[in-house]
Amino acid sequence: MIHTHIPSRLLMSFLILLGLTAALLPGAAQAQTDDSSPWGEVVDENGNIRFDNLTDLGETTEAAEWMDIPLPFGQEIDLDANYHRYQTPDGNVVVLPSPLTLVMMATNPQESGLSGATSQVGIGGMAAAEFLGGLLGNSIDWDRVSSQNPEYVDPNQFWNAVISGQENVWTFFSGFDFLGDLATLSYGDLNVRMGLLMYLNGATNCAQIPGGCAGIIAQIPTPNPSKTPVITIQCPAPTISQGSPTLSILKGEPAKPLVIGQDPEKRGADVRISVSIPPVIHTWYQRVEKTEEVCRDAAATETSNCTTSSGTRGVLDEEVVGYECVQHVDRYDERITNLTAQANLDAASRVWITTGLAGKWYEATLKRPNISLIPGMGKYQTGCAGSCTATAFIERIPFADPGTYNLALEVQTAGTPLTRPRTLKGSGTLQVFLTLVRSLPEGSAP
Amino acid sequence: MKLITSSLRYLALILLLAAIVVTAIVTKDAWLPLLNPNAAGNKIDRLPPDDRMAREAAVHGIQAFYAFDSQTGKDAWLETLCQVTSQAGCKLTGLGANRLWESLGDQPFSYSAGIEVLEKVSDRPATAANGKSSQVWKTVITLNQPLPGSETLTDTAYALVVTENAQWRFERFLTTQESAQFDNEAAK
Repeated sequence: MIHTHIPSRLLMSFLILLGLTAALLPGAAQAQTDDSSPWGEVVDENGNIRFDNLTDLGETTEAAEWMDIPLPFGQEIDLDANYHRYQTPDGNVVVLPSPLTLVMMATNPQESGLSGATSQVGIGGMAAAEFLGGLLGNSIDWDRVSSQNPEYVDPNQFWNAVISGQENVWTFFSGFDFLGDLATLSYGDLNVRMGLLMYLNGATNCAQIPGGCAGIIAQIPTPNPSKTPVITIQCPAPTISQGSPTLSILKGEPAKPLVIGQDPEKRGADVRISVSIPPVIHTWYQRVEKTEEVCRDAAATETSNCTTSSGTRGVLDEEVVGYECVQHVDRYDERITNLTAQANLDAASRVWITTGLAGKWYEATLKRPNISLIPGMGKYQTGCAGSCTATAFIERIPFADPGTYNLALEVQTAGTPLTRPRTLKGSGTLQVFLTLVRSLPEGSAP
Repeated sequence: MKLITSSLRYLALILLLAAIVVTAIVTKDAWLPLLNPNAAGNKIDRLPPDDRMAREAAVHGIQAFYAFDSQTGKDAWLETLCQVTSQAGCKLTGLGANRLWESLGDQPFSYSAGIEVLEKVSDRPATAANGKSSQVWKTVITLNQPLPGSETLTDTAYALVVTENAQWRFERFLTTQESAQFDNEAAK
């Protein structure tokens, strides 16, 4: 991503859109219970992508006229459509378009195959109206849509007309900066689980799916049957790994903090918080053809430019001689979106104050047994550099009740494109002391 | 006789008043600013400051876009262009820069453009949801020589400019389909 700052409005639209899509995706919802759903090969019962079941076909780019942006004087910015594709054991192909490609598909649904493709399930044709509305709705001049087409009483009616080719969405834009913003988004900005398009029997019908036949397993060429057949290799399954997060919430100075009423300097106690979440590591393998130049037999109509090993007329050509697996490693930061910390007096200390201590001191009661440290008494700093971290230092916390405090730390994360958001918890303890004065008879042992 | 003398006086008075009115109209740029400082200068100077800067961003962006020069090359062109465009505009143009330059052919070339800004056709202030303001300006571009595959030197273009870090910057040209709405409005 070139930008250091992703346009938040656009990203939010995208996430809302993809979340909505997920709710409407038949596979994402039904794969858990419906074994016959083709999405069962792709998404597990928890909604995670089954990378171990998929062959990663890698990224594919292809020139597509519907990606071209016209310029004055008949010029064009010719963009490539860009997809990351996976193949299922049953021969279905799952396609993840880049954000810009996805929008250009939406604005050219017929040409791009988003609408009308019989092999397509998921977004196209089912949730496409909501999909388009979530993505482009803010950039449409709805007043003009209404005045020119009063028959549309619901935005979805307009979007369905766009998908079927009856309306040209380009002519109804009023905000135009969305296109440039999309160009700055990358795959990493997508929630992979939510942005998938499935093409049933895509391996067999690869010429009709986005990205074509490049890399599709069923289409492995055997260029010359008379020669030793090229042995296909199966690359290692992709893996997702992540180190264990560390969370700590510890007592700081002083060594023996006193309750605030007995603390002449009102020193209180300090608490240190530290969180570190390692990145998600996605290791995947791409099968790449190994080719070498050979002199093959020339057809009668071809001009010979070499002599074959058997001494006949030949033509220099590239021939697939094998395959190799190229390893790719992607790292995804798991950002911290919220952190809270509490100090709660434990049950035994509460009982001791309200029974034991109250028996000696008539006015002994619980004063402030639960303290919210964050938010309330301090703030945390967070960022990602290798791992995502959060730190906080809360000074001079005035504890009003003596005893043992349970320190509770809770962290929410944003998840990653490959993993779900999660809540992490950490804990610690902190002892607050009370000075008790006891009168002793002279000469007695203390 | 008395009637003729009286008529001549009226005629002279009318001519005098007409001369004053004509003089006032001809010299309005000299005295109007004294009454209303915002009315000073030419038509461009009288634009609101924000519009003036947006207009300038459109002109600078288009001029930088059509500054193709085979001697300095594509990378230098893109670098110069990106200095006057938004980051998104820079990224978008960069994605198609290779093929755009391939379309210019392999003969030496040096292009430049003159820009006539006709009018602002769209104005979207920043909102809570979208922090960027945007404007669209209708322009007429005149090139110093035709582009390959084209015989025309002049074309109408709609330039999108946006605010980025409180500065107006050129982002891109509207597509023919996007700009059709403005052409249709003008036709009405």
